[in-house]
Amino acid sequence: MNAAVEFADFVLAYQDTVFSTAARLLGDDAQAEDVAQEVFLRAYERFESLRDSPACGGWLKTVARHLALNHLSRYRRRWRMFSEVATADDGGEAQEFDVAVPDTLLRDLDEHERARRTEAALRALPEHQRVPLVLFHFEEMSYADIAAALGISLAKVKIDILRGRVALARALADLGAGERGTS
Amino acid sequence: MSRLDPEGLERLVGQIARSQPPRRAPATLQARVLDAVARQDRRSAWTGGFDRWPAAARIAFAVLTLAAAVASARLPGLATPLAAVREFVFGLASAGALGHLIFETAVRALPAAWLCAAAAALVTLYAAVAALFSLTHRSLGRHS
Repeated sequence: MNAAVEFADFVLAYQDTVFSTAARLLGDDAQAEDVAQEVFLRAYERFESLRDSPACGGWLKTVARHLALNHLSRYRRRWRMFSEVATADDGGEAQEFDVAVPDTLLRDLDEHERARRTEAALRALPEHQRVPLVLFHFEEMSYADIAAALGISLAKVKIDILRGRVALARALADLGAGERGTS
Repeated sequence: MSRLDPEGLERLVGQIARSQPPRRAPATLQARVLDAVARQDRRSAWTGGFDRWPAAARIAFAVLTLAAAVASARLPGLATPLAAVREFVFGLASAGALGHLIFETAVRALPAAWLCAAAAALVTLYAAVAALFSLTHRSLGRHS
């Protein structure tokens, strides 16, 4: 098999993984496609060593994560500012992190519909909650690594993720209620 | 309905994330990547340095360079062009010496504050041009 065909197969095998990482972090499919392309261009440069490596999938995910975060970094200052404002706004009030969810949340749906609703709810989260939440729950990074990657404090990472979970659960519950209402 | 505390919420979201399949990449992604790779290969053959030139081009370049070196050493007919090259190099050196003289005179004649201001302006301009170049390069790279 020649190298071009092998690389085409390689792209086909890993494109969903790379695209998922980028799309969930960026919340935008067109930007995620740009990032995925860049990831594979970098993979092509070291294809000789990558193609037989068992760490290949991990390498691709790491590069996709780095590139997506770099892509977001131009908005990082604004993102930090919004996040700080949100923290300040909530500071004087009793923190309400309890959330009521239907007992059947996502359970009465088929796999495709469950996945679709989860992705839609993730996309609807504000960036300063979605990014740390995706890094923690989908990319399985630790709080400390997320804080280092985003250049924010550990406490802020934890609070953003907690708020992200609340917002995600509410969004999923709302999506369910909305679609039941229209059906 | 059930109320979830932060721990219950963490478990719920963790469970949702673990059971979530990867997003399906757009059908156009593979073709797009392969196009970009082909474009990069075509570009990098000539702009990526000597080691990325096609083998035939590398051999031809080496042979031509060697032939030129041998010819310049052995053929008397090349004496005149060689002398011209030598004169050009001497000319450059003289211009360099003149430039050096002018620079030294300017350094002695001008106040130190002016020179510092000029150096700062030069550095700022250089940084601005470099930033502009980098920005243009990045944006062209993104759209190519």
